[in-house]
Amino acid sequence: MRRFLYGRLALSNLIKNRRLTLPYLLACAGTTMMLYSVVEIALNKGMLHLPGSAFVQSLMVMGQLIVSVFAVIVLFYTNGFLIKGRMRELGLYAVLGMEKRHIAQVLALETLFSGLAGVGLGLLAGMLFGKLLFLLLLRMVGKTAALPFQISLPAIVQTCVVFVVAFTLILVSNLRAVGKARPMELLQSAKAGEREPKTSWFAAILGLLSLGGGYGLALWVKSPIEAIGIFFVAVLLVILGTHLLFRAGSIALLKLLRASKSYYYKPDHFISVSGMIYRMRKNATGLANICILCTMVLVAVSTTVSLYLGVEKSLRAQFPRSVELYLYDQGPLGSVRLLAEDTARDHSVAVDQYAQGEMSRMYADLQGDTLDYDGVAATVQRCYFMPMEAYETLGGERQELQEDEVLLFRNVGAYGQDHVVIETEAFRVKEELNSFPIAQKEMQSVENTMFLVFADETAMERAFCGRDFERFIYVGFDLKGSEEDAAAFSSDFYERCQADEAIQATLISSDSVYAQRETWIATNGGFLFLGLFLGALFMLSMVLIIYYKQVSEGLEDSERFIIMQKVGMSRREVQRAINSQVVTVFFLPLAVAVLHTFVAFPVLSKMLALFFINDLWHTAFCMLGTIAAFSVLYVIAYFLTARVYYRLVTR
Amino acid sequence: MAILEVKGLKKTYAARLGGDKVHALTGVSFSVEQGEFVAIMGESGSGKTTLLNIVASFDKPTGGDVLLEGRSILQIPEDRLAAFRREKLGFVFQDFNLLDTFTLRDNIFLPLVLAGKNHVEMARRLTPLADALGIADILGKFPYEVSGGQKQRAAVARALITDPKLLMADEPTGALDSRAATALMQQFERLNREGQTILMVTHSAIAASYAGRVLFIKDGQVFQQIYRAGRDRQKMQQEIADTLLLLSGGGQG
Repeated sequence: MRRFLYGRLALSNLIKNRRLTLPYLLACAGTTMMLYSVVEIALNKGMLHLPGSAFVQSLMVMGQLIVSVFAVIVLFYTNGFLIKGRMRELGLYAVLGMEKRHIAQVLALETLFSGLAGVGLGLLAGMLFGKLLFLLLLRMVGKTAALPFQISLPAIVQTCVVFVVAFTLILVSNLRAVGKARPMELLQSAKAGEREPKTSWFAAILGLLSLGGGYGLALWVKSPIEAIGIFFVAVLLVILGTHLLFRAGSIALLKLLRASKSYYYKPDHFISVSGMIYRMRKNATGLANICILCTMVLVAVSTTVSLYLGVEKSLRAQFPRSVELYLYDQGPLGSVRLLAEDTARDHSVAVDQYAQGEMSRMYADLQGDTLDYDGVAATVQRCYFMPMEAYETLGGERQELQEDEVLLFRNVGAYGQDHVVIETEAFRVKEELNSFPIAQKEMQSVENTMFLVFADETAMERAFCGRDFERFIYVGFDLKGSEEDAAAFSSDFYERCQADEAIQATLISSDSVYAQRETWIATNGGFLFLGLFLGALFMLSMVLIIYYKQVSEGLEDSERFIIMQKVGMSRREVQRAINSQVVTVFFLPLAVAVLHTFVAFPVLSKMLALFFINDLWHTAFCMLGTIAAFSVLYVIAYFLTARVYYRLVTR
Repeated sequence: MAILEVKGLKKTYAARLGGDKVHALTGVSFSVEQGEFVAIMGESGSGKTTLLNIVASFDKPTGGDVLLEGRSILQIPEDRLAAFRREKLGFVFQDFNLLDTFTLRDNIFLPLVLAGKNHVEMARRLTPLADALGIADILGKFPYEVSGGQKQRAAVARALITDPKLLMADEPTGALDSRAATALMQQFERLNREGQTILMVTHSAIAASYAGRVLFIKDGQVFQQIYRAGRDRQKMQQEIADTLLLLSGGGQG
């Protein structure tokens, strides 16, 4: 009978505090749904049979880890708001004669109820929407096969384990908070004001240094390979810097504003500045978290969108011609061409832009105007040397060259000098080409590549300086016709090359846009799915933090605004002061997040170059689009939660 | 000249769920002359706080009228009320109603800031007031850093800084110890000597004894009033106590 009483008390507490518990429950259900869906996809056996989805599934395994850790953090964090707001109520129970173990019992039952409801609701939604998400994923990775999205017991168990851990942690922390407090403290804890924080110049300077360091790393990163290692260091520095600066910097700034009498003593500024100073320490942490979450959403979504929308660009960068072969020997060149045309006829496509040419490849370090074959510096270039004859068969326009003249092409940037020294041999650059038949001018690339065209073999030999470099023959062509026919051609053509002994004996490798497209769409689609998925998760937790911030501050502020109305402030003035304060507080994180994202652009675009996304404009557009879309969602979230705040303050 | 005229004021609260009606005021009439210090007394539930709230324009009466300097405050449109309160009235509350987010100085400045005054003008007005109330050297402190008496003096400064026609106080000594309460009442007495009109609600006979006139309210009506008329404060206090006894003993229930 008595246990029943506590159960009823726990249930009625949850319902009575629904303004606080309902969003918590929804957040719990939301994270459960997301975790269940991603676990289910990671465990889905059907996906193993689809080509290229092994990688997608390994992405989902990574995703489930991130979602698990994040879910625990979010629930723990939100619970902090909940329990702080309820200390008074729990204190009242203690004063009314409930022992601590009874309070603990009520809390445990509350946790059990809300956990069961949240996880149960989430699993149900996961089973319903998981299928939808799964279809979305399959669509994004370009698979049309109808795969079943089963309800799997292991996925349910795994999801439940994560949330049992989360709720156990929450319960333990709540019980500790109650256990430590005396009844009178519990009664007063909600009222205890924050002392005015001191300006910590040390923290401000440390924050500035840390943020500056992170920004510096992101801005001055040289190469894509470097970018990966540096990125995480930069992220950590920026997170640390954001936290420190939001704390110390905001307090310093607000105090500066307060010191300026002509600014401070205006109705709007007066109330908002003082209000913000008053709870800046708590505020700053919340705002820094919101800011970091915003940045995470922007970075995750904009890079994956850029990858997904850039698949064709990245394929084009890898394949100047749609079908490419590399051979050791000139011998079977004729039969390769015949084979290509025969196969094309069988698949009703036409061979177009056929190009072939022999060249040598080597790595050399470019210092100023000198190429050094033994260089190992970061400025190392991939170089292709070829005679004019090969340049012509590759599709270049013939030019008369002297023995000491070269044509030069670089894929990134301009060479810009009128001569080049190869080891000890000097050549005059007759023309720096703007385009090259088998390469693309790129805004950035993993590797800097240089093509040099010599007058003839003799001139080229002179540039080798007595060394022996790998020689190979490039064959490449485009196809005219439908995509399906071209794809069928490419797999058939590859098989026929393997079957032809003469070709097979000298074939180094062959590849085509058509063979690679599926893999790239699957990979980049997988990334996009994960990016959007995590973006949604971060967004969910961000809205949650904003909501609880608004509610807890609304409750605190309502008393202040009642007093202000008593000493002669009209409702309109109250509303204006509220707007001024709330707008500053909520748009600051967004503005800083956008700044972070802009600064991250160089390092992000260099990392994208690893995936052959070389077009800076493309990446910039994807980033701006993401920022615009996100800002709209942020504004909507702001208006919805601001209404809650306003209602609390003016009731 | 009467600065405040209260005419036949009635206030009825409808009980929740449409049950019986509660009559808080059944017809209160009195007037306050320029430069008077009037105290209103009565038991809990006698309607004195309702009366103060209506005069302060926080609440609307069911019947009757309130005139300030001959103008009905009930006719003032909603959007002008805040400015009206700010300009004409000053308030001192039992629980101070100081904002923890402001220093005492900024708490005092609040009504002037809302009125859009220049900060030089604000400082000019504050200096003599802070000196007179003895809070000049604690103006930079926050409310949670000073004593109750100091808080209430800051609240008085906030009420007076707009130079109001009428200073209204609701149980101003209610949360103070006897020394602070005495000091505050001496301040009120001095302010009144300097010409400030004061209307104060209290149930402390000591506090009321500083007033020039005491109105007693019972069952929503003015039951009796007594004038100090140059008498000794002790004698006044004695008469107030006697009247209160009469009020609670000889009533109709």
